Amino acid sequence: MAKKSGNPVLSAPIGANEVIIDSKNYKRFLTPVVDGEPRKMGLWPQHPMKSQLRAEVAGSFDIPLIPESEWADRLAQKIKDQSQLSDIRNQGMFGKRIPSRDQDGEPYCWAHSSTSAALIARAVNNQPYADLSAFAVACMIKNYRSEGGWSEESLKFIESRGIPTSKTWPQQSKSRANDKPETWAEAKENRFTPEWMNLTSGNKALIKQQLVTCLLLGIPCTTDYSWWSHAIIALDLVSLSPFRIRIWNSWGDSWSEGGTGILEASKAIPDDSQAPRVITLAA
Amino acid sequence: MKYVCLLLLFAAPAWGQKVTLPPEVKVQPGRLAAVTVEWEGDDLKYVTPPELDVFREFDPDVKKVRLRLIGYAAGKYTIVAVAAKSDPLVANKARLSEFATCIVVVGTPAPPVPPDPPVKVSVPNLVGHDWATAMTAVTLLNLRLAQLEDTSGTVKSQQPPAGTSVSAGSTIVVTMSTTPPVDPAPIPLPGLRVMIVEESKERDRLLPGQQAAILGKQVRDYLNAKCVKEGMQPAYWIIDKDVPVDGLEKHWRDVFARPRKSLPWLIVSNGKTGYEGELPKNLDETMAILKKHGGE
Repeated sequence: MAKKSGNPVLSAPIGANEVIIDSKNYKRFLTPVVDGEPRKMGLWPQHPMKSQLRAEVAGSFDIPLIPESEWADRLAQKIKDQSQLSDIRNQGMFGKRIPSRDQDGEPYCWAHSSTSAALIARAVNNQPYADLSAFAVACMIKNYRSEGGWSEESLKFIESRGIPTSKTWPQQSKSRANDKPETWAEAKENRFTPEWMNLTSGNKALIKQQLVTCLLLGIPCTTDYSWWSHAIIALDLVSLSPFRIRIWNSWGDSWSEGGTGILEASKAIPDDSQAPRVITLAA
Repeated sequence: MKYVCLLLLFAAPAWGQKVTLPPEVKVQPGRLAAVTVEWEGDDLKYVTPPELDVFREFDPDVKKVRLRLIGYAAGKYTIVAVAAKSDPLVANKARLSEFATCIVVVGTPAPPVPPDPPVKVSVPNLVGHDWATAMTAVTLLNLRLAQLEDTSGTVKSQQPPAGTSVSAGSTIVVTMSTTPPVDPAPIPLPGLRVMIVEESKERDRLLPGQQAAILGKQVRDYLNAKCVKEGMQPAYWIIDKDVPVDGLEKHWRDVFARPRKSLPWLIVSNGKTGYEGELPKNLDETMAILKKHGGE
């Protein structure tokens, strides 16, 4: 486990055991082991199908970029107000921390990233905690195959059908018996509205600006990293020098510290990213 | 007494000719007086003194002549009139009526009447009242009301202050509060309930105090501690204006449907009192509103 390095002037608090992944140590996280068990990632490389999907859902980035000159002041304000998404996660389950999803050896990171974004979006609304089941999304999309994918694919599914909770689709279950009408009736209560945005893939400088804009505005972003073959969710901007963001992984709370870690510099800039802003309400 | 003579050419036995004048008319110098001459016959002659300016008004009744006259110097003046009628027995001969006279008395100017002393009234206390109530209060006291800003909200201050003695007709200038009046509780259920409606797409335009209210720990800690519980969850929502609210209970759907003048919009209710208005730009103001209705 890597220890934090550097001495940033302006930085959100970093947990004592929270991992920091940078260009020097990243290879350690390509074959992860958590609690003695190997973990998988599951991000597919770029694929012709993805271009087709992008054409179908093309929700472009439509909020003004926050100028880089304002980043430091806005970050300082968020640290002072404790208004980062991880602050909201830390009390989002009836005053306690929302538990991390755990993909449990399946290559379903791309479904867990969107599911974690749904948990955060609900917490921002102060919706009651719901134990959302990412396996339901992945199993339906992949017809129960253990197969990789990408976050955008799962977002599109969640927009149309929603995510059930563990009441109707238990966590980490791949049983076909879960696929019942009542499961999807419940899932409809947890749908992203069509307002979610695609960040601009293929332009590292621009996608970084868009990512920072979202994080400073409290909008969660699913982030797909080719170097890691992994999809996760970005919660916070942590510091600008070095550039660090806090991500929420789907390897359970045992990974790093409470399931979150820090990505630094080039390792923090995703190859693809989506920003779901609004989720339906269910009391 | 001054006289004006009328030259008469004929004697006057009566054959239906007649003229009548009011015997006396009194008028103040420079003021208009009216004299009506009523007559019968074929012709009417009248003479007025040069000290009077006389105008003849049109009268549809030809047997009436209405004279309007003004005298400027005090005195008595005589108007003389006579009517004539042709003699049916003798050609080119007419018979005259009796002379009629009217004495016009132009009096001396009345001394000026001193004005009534101004009525004094005590300025009422208008602070805390809305515009309509303040207007009613000052109108009843024969005062006037003017405002420095718009007429929404309640009176924040007034000039002159309450209790000051002023003349009737004076103007009271008030400053209205910019804070909307406190409405009755927006949610008719006991316990603190709060809703903030925002537009997540527009968060970059919000001031730091508004962003802190939407996402920050201070407001959420307070709401988690003070809001009544609905199930296990503290009763507050921080939601986007575009979100479908079909899944919420009716009282939340109702409060979401209430009109909003801007975004982000804050609604606070404790079942008895409440607040509906723009989310304050300053976090301290938001906390003050919450504590006013939810307690310290």
